[in-house]
Amino acid sequence: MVTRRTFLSGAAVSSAILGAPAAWAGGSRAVPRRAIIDRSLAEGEAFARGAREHDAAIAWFAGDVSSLWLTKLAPMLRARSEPIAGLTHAGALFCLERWAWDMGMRVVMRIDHVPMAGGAWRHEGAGRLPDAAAAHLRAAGSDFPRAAAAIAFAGGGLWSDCTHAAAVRGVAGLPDPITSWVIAPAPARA
Amino acid sequence: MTLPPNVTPAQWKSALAAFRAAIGDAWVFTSDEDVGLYRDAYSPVWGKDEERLVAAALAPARVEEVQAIVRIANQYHIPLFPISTGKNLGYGGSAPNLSGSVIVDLKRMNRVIEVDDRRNFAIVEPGVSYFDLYAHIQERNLKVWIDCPDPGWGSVLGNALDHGVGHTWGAYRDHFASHCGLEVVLPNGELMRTGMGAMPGAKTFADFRYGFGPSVDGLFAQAGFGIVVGMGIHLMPRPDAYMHCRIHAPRRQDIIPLVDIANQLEDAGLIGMPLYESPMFVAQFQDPALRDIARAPDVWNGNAIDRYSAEKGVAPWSLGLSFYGPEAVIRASWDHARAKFAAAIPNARFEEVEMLRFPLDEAGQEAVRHKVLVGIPNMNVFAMGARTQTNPEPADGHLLFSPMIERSGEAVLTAQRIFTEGMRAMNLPDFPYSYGPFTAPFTWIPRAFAMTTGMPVSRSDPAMNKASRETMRRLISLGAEHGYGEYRTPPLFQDQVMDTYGFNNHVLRRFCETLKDAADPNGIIAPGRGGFWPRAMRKDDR
Repeated sequence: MVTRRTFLSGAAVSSAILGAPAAWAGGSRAVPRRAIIDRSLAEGEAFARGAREHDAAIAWFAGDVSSLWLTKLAPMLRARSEPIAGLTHAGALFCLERWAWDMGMRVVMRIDHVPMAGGAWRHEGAGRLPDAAAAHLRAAGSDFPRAAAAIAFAGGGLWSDCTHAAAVRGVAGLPDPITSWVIAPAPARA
Repeated sequence: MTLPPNVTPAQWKSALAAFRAAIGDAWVFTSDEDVGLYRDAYSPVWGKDEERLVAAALAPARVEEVQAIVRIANQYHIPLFPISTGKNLGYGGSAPNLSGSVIVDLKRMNRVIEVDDRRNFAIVEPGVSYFDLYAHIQERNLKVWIDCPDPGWGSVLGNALDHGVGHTWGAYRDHFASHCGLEVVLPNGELMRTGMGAMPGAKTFADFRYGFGPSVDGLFAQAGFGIVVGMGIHLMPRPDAYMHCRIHAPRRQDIIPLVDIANQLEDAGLIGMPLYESPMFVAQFQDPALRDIARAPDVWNGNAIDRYSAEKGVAPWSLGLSFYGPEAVIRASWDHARAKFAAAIPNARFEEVEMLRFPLDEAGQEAVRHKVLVGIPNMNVFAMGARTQTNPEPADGHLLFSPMIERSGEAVLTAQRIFTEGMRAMNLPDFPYSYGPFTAPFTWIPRAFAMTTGMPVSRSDPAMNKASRETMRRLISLGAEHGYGEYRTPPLFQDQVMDTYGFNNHVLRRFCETLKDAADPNGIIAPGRGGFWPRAMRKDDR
């Protein structure tokens, strides 16, 4: 049985939750080393803490991700294609995803986190993210951004092609959903 | 996998082999995963039979490769659909008019050939985005500005060819109007240059757009007469300063003098793009009483709106004015404008919003309130929280309905009523509060107003898409009944929109068809783009 504690230590994630071979060729050994976080999100700091636990560098932006992409991420990824993870609004992910396509990269993990009444959150994974991952996010309660980081930085075992995943709709009267994600080199380039 | 129409698997295999030989195996994309990237992210027919899907994508790097692609396509009768950066969201994205087309993705042709800040022009390839051209200018400290649309990731060339628009001064924001000279691969594979480019040795390709004889450049915008691989574009010299000011007009009828004076100021070269808004549009979502006023049948006489304005201090109209030039000149222009508005609109309020002096450093650029008004590309339009009071249930994207109306206050009031009452009469959904008495005109295109509104689309809600498609089709018809034609529309609606331009038994379309049949007898370049088709694909039922 995987406890929340073991789950949050990223190494446990892939072995415990997966139970299936890595679908993302070559991806099972790949781990993001950089987290892209919108500093305007209250949950960003907790995601950053989770990312740092996996020795990831943090790249912050506020609202418009274009400057970060154009001046830092795109040159870095052009020089060396590697997975990146993040916590953003769906709009920033939409932009990053399309820019990343031109570098042969795809969204391979996507979890939409939806604010619910009473301060709760609903977590919806795209692709082949197991239900167990959502269960662990629920168990994390308000610390879910850190748990989401643990999933994102666990590596390629959880990844699958989430290219055409639709954004999850939020609840009327509550804030927008936010999204944790991984963008990684497509199989042919991994 | 989707195959090109009327092409056998064996012919397709041979064509792909020829494409690979011409541009290299790595740049011919045929897998579902790869060609799926060219689906329209904002498609209102996502996952349905009507969705326009592509057979393959080709990414040439040089003009000669584009020529080779066209010649092969002619040999095998393969329809091609050229895209520049493929970011035409809201108007079709990178998806073609005809399923089974092969995308010619020109992103790899991304050279800024030249920027001249003494004669104020640029020459670019299709893959150059607004971000790219802006960076090129900034890195070299050139004293010119670009004019960019809201999202900065689009192609300078591609946007112009779709009659795209921006936000600064006069003709600069009408991007096709500011183009100057095209380099085009024709349907037979020949390379043609227009304007002065037609004269060997001419040095005025990006200065003088006409050259001699007929100006054919318009045939390559919103149409399939060739693949444009290079374009000159006029640029605005960097001004010393910019000032944005705002006028708040307290009565509904004030829109009439507001527009008249703004027209005079703009056409005389004193201001850039006028920015019309209604503060009551947002206020109606905060105050149900105002929303009730907006929905009342007698709202159009303006009495209730004027009373609300007087009581609450919320203006029915505001107008933003952008001044560009030497600081002393723009301050004098603002004084002049303010006096004109004050004389014509009793109790108008005036506000100085922002003053900038150029060049700006990085922090200064970041601090600009409305970056596109000073030609700074950005992606803020995607950064805004999707969920707002005016859009409580945001969708995955939108369709844009953009009818053009006359540039007068009377026309705004008339069009508001026609579209609002028309939608109600047709029982169309009120999303997202598309039209009402607080709908303001868009002024991207000089000398006309666009009464643009958006209909939501979703990748997971077919019912929403169906409602949006039906609304769009009925709005197109309703607009045409009143002489309002769209300036731009997604492929799904291009036939219908072209059909509304029906003067003299659709002679415009018939003329385009005649040209198409002569210049592109195999109908291989973007068939259907612009709402006309090559002979073999024309429908018999019209």
